[in-house]
Amino acid sequence: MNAYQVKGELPKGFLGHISYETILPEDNEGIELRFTFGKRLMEDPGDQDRNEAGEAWIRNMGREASFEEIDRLIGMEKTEINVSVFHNDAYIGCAHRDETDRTAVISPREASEGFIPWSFRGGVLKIVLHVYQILNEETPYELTVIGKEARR
Amino acid sequence: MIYQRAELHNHTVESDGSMTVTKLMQWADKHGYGVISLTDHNTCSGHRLAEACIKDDNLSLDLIRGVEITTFYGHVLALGMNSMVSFTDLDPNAPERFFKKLRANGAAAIGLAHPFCLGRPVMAGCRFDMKIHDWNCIDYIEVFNTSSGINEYGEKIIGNETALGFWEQKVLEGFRLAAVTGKDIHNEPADENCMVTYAILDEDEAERNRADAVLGAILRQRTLVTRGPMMYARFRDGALSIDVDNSSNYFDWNKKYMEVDPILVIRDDLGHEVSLKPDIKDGKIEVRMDEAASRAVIRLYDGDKEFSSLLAAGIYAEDRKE
Repeated sequence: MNAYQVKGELPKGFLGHISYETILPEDNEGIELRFTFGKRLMEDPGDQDRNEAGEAWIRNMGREASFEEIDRLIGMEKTEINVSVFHNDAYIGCAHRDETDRTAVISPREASEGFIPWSFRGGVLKIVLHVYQILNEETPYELTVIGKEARR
Repeated sequence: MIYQRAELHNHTVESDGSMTVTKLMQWADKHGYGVISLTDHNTCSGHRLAEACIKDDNLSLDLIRGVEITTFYGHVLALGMNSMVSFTDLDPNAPERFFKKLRANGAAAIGLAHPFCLGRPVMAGCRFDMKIHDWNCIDYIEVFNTSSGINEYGEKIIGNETALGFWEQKVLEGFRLAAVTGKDIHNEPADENCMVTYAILDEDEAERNRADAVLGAILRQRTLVTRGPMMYARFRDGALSIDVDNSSNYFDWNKKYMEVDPILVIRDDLGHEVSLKPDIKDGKIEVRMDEAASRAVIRLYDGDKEFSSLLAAGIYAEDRKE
């Protein structure tokens, strides 16, 4: 299987799942997955961003946040995208980590953390990006899947 | 009657935790939990590792397989799940269909984790924002998430006081929800006297698989959250009888209980609230409530009725009027 690579940009405020599907060759056995995204922290918070953080604070703390507290809350916010892998509808696992760069290898004999060992011979490989929050415009992401042929 | 300590919300390097599965199992065993659920975010990849560790290291620990389904609209703990399911079709305005899908995939008990956490945009997805029309789909609520330890600021960010009040309101309305805690372990926890969960088991249950028995206790609302006494309440014709067991060695409660100034607060489904200063040393407290009441929730404080003074809560009693 040739490397399967997709990339794109997401707008601020995007929320949703992005699915990519490809048909695997019969002589394929494992996969290596690489995913990266950028602009993890908010780059230029505006009034609306500060207001939204302040509203979240009031709900729990019962009082308005100070200017410094809002700054701290904005600093806690992050762009978050996690990656799940499916094979013919079986859920193989998820790279759910607080990192912008992730690599996972899955084969019938071993799997990276978050995944179960699995044989990817033929069938439909589906990669789902779970986009929990995008804090900045033109947030870049890139997904690469490399197939691993069965041992002869 | 057996009080079984259980830790029901944990993460490892299989998702965003820093402890390996082996380290987490060893930690739970060392700290006397007896039953632990592994609930990594959106994956079941650690289950087999946990079971192998328990067996190979001969730990006195039973595992509840679980997942924290980490959605855009809240975190759902599914205990008993053997394999993860897709959540891309979850409709936050009608989540019941998704909860049924979890049941069909082995979820024996479904709970809401930290439902009143600060939430979006600061902690995206952490607050429970789904519109539930049928609360019978939910089995329990994590009324104390102790991931911030004993910390008033952290408690407010997580919203534990609101979660406990919400659970009390729902069970007094008649919904069958258990109250539990969760350490939500991501790093090895500090050794702090946080609220923990006890499941109340019959002796024959405890002799079998303790993990299944804890799940059964959750489904029957036979749990409590405490950092001191273990308590169990019965309610019949207005007579509320509360067993108090001070034998727990969790942070030396079996030595410290004589020093507390207990305040018991009971609320019933008719809107009455009774507050009294009981003697908790003799093992049983009898309280007269309105005969027409059929449900009661109980809190035990030390010294005053501040939330930070709570010793035990999540205790529910029902008179089925049979």
